[in-house]
Amino acid sequence: MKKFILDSFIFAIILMIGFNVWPIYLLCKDRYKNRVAGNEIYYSIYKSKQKKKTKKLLLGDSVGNQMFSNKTNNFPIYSLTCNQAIDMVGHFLLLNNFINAGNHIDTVYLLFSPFSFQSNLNNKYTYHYFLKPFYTNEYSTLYTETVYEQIHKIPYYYLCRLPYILTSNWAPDFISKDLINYTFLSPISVEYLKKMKELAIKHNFKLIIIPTPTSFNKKQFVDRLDKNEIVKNYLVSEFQYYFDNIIYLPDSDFVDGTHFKDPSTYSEYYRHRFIK
Amino acid sequence: MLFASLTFTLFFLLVFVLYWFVFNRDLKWQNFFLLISSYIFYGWWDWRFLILLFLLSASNYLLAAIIQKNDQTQIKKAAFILGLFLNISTLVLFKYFNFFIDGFINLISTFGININLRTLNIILPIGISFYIFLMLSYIIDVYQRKLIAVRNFSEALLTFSFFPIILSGPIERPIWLLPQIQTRRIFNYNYATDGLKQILWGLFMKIVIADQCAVHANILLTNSSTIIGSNLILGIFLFTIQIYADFAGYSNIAIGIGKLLGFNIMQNFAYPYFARDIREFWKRWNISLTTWFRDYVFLPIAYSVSRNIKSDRFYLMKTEFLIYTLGIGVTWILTGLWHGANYTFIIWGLLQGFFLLINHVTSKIKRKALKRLNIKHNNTFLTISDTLATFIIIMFSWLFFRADTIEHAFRWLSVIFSSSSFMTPHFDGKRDTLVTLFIICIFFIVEWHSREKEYGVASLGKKWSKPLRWVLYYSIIATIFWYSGKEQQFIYFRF
Repeated sequence: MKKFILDSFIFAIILMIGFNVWPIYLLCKDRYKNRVAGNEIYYSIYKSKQKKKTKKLLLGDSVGNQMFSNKTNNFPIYSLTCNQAIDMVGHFLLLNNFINAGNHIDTVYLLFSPFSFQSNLNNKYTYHYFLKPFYTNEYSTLYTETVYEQIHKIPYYYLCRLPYILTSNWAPDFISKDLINYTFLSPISVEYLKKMKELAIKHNFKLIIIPTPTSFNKKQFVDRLDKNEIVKNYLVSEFQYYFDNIIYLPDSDFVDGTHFKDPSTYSEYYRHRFIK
Repeated sequence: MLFASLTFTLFFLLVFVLYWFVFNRDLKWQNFFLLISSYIFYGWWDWRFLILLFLLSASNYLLAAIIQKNDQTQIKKAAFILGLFLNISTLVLFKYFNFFIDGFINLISTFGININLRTLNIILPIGISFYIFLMLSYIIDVYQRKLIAVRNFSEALLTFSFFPIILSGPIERPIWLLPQIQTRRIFNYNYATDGLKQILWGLFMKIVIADQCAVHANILLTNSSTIIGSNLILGIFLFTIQIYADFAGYSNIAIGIGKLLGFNIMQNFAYPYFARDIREFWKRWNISLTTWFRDYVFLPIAYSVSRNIKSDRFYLMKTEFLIYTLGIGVTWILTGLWHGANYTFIIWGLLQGFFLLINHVTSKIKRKALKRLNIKHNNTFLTISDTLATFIIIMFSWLFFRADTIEHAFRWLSVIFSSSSFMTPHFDGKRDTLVTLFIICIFFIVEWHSREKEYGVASLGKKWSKPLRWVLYYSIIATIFWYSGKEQQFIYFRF
């Protein structure tokens, strides 16, 4: 037994050292951010801290990112679109960063699919896409109690800053057991949309929520979303034209029912119709 | 708590340390601790399942004790029948109730009668097919006097809930497991390191091979816009590798964990894709399940029919062939059903039975023909062609296993048998698929090298110096870590 323990111990020590050298190097050089899955999030965070002359800021989910990629020049729009998995709280943090960087904007567009507002930091990608980039001291004061409550439900949330975990795609298996009593707006979406509203009043910019084109096959699910949640949460003016503006397209235009085969066709149309 | 998860790693580390350092005083403490650990492990999925597991274990324990005590045939038989009924009805209720109700409604409606029967919203307790089969073995073996009913209640509970095998097998036989539970386990260095190696290989099979194949197979088989024959063939090929690596990987992890706790769990896979015919394949695939069906379904049917038919011929058929056909038919319908309440599994089972019958009929003819042509059985060309042919047959039968419905399977078949099968596959992520195919090739080379051993890396590097051997293990671990993070649930958890 002693031999087994000793051998295992030495093996594990070498393993731990060996497996942390590379992650620590990546961490020190900041190179992991463009290697991991969801690297567009780190890029949006980086962009959100830049001082720019733009007056129009765009936040959005992955469909929004397909139409106005954060890696291309979309002038006069400055795109911080990335992924829905960062939730509304993540999008708020990007907006807050941008304002704190000393930028003066007149319009913020939120380009989201009708189903993106349901997320409540409770999906299997939350660990990798939200916790790793955003669960840091830098943002700790900007989290509400609901956010902390949700974070604490995710297994091993406290390990997310470990070099190996942070620099790899590893995430624990997580299936939320939350009882869901909303269909459209999750509590976290409501809280952070309201925070964005407050920022809009404070910094004098317009907040416009625009829907991404949606597959016709999903129309029945959109129709089933409870629109009363908008009224109940005092977000009527923000969502006033949201559902009327949804463009339904044939399923053949999508790769997986959500993402486009050819997003460029629609980004031009959106630029003219909504984003002026 | 998946085997390939951080939660399980921490759980098992704790179990291992406490088991060998704190509860190692005597057999009672070892078993008590393993029982508690097994219940925690199983209850982790859903604590409500524990109630069912405990009640079934207690009932089987009591019924086996009654069978053991009573020599009077009637009481013994009654307890035995009750035991069978209890286990089978529980399995039917949880797994097949809605399937049979739906089937009954459909059947009745074909005669123009519409009835309104309610199906139930039943949650399938994880691993139920595995532990109920273990319980059935126990009751049958005690009834047939092959096994003495266990007296100690906690030993019985542990036999039915032993955590390395409760979720997905191997379906260990009580006749082998009980004596191990009843003997104090002593730590053995070689056995434990062998267990670690087997776990490592199991994780490699699951995370690197099965999960990667799953990603590409799902793209190829579910993306309706790219369904062409060549895509489907590639998708089914990847699924064929996935299902093997997934289940054999799981079995390797389970056996390895058993070894670390001082248990010898039966081998469940013996390189099935190297089999030269369908019969050999089923001797190598899910051995614990196929031998279970052989011993408790096929042989009893064969014996009972042969007792009732004395002549060599039954009408125009040879009695021996009739017995084989009947036995195979029933066994494979049940094997198909065991995998799930879906017609696709029944068709899959019937296909296997059909292939076995064909093999049964043609094997003698083939042997004679080879003898006449003076070709030896171990001829390289013959070996390769046999193995390839078996692989292709098995691969196409997995199509029914993977499809959601029979119509779905036939739609796939019609696409496969069209000219689109000669087109170059086109889909997103081709480069990643090529990398996966390359890793599959390396995997099969390693497996071929170790085909006489219990698992892939059992003998690999055995003669190397320790540092070199450790480099090999670190490389495997590095590959596992590289691919980890998007683990899929083990396919056989569904059963």
